[in-house]
Amino acid sequence: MDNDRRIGLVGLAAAALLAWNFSAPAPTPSKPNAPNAPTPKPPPRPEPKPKPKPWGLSLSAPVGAKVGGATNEDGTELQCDLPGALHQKNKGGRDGAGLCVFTSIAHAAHWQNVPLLEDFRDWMTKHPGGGYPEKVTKMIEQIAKEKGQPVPDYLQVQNNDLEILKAACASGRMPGVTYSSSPTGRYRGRIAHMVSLVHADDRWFVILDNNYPGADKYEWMSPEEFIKTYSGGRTGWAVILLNPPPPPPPRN
Amino acid sequence: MYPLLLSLMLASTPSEYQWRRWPDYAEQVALVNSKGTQVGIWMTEEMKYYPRLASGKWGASCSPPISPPTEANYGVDREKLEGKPGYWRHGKQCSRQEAFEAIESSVPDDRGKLRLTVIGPKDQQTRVLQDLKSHPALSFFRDKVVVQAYAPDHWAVKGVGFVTSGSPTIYLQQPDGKVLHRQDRYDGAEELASALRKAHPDYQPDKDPPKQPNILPGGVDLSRIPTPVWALGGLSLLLLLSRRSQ
Repeated sequence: MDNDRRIGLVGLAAAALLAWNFSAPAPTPSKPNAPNAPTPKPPPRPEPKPKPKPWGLSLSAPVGAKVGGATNEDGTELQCDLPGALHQKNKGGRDGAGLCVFTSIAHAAHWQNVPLLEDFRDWMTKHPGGGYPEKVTKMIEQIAKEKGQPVPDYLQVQNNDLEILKAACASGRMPGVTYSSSPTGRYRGRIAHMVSLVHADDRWFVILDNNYPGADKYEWMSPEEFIKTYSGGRTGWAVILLNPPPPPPPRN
Repeated sequence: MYPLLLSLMLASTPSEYQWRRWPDYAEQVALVNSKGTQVGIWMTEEMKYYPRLASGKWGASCSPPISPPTEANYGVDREKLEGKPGYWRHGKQCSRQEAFEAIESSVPDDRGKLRLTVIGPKDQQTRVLQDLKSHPALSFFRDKVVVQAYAPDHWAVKGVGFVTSGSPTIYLQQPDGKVLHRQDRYDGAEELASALRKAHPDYQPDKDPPKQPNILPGGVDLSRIPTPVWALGGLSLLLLLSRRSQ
């Protein structure tokens, strides 16, 4: 009996030990230190899967996006083929902040014959940079008032509706669209940018990037790649001038 | 219990969060609150956010409480885009249907909408455009054509086949570019309307408006007098005048 009691006591002690072990609180999460100090990595979730990194400019990214001219290898021609001589490079506003939004609108103005906004980028260099929907409304009204012209007709869209972008391009209009990453690897990491959408159908979305202007520098991508860069993980924003496109070349 | 949770939620407003990077680890960016506690992680390649749960484990991917971190900003203020999905025309909110109608209302229809292009100096463009907008003779075409006007040296018309030397040149084209009518001067709305009507695919001559008859006092309709009678009358008048002069 004494033996049984001893065994029982040992078993109880072991059980108590095990129970105490499992009830210990989880380790507290690591805290990132202040900048300039050695900092531990946070525990990743999950372990990042290895992916090929497109170091530098890649003309044929693994996902199929590519940089090229106005006609694709499969014969697709751009719906909004703005001549290269009219492409504009992004500049900074009075405070140095970028004018990609207003440069994209200027591209559409050239394509759709809206003289008031053809020099929107240059006019904005005298104003603080950076763009968002309310500012676009305000600055279009301001430039129209300054130049004594009527405000042109335009739409702004804030969501991930690709059908309205396809309808706009199919009708010959050139939306300015948000762009947060390059499927061909032009940029490393996430960016805050607006570019011109020069083609949109069920197979191809093509952008003219005002950081990379040129008739041979269009970025062709799939709809899946486009929605990722357009939405940036949240929602996209598009500005669409409603003036009609140029007439087709005459033929008998 | 619930008031405590609510106060905790209110205590951590979105403005109290910030992103923290690791210099040697660009693939992930930590989200910390005002107390310096890590509350989530942004995976830069996937462009997804995972919240850090109280247990120390990671939750399912969701939208971060503030805009995701960016490497570089070329001119878009992402903070001011958040939480306002929708459609706007001229700064005023509209429905999705209204947004589509705004785009589709001017789309050239292969059967219906033609392209009318006016090429010339500004003052000549203005005259034609004004008449297109308001002259009764051209009202038939107002919703049937897509109108554009260009200076002769504009890239859209120069060097692509358009004649640009008119005063002005006016083209009527099908959407595929086929030219239905071209004129190199503008003699007024009625003359243009007549030409456009004849060139329009749906033109029916029997629907031309009738010419107004010239009726003399007494009910004599001059348009009913045959041409030979007019010729005889003219000859008689000439003979009479020559006899008188002799």
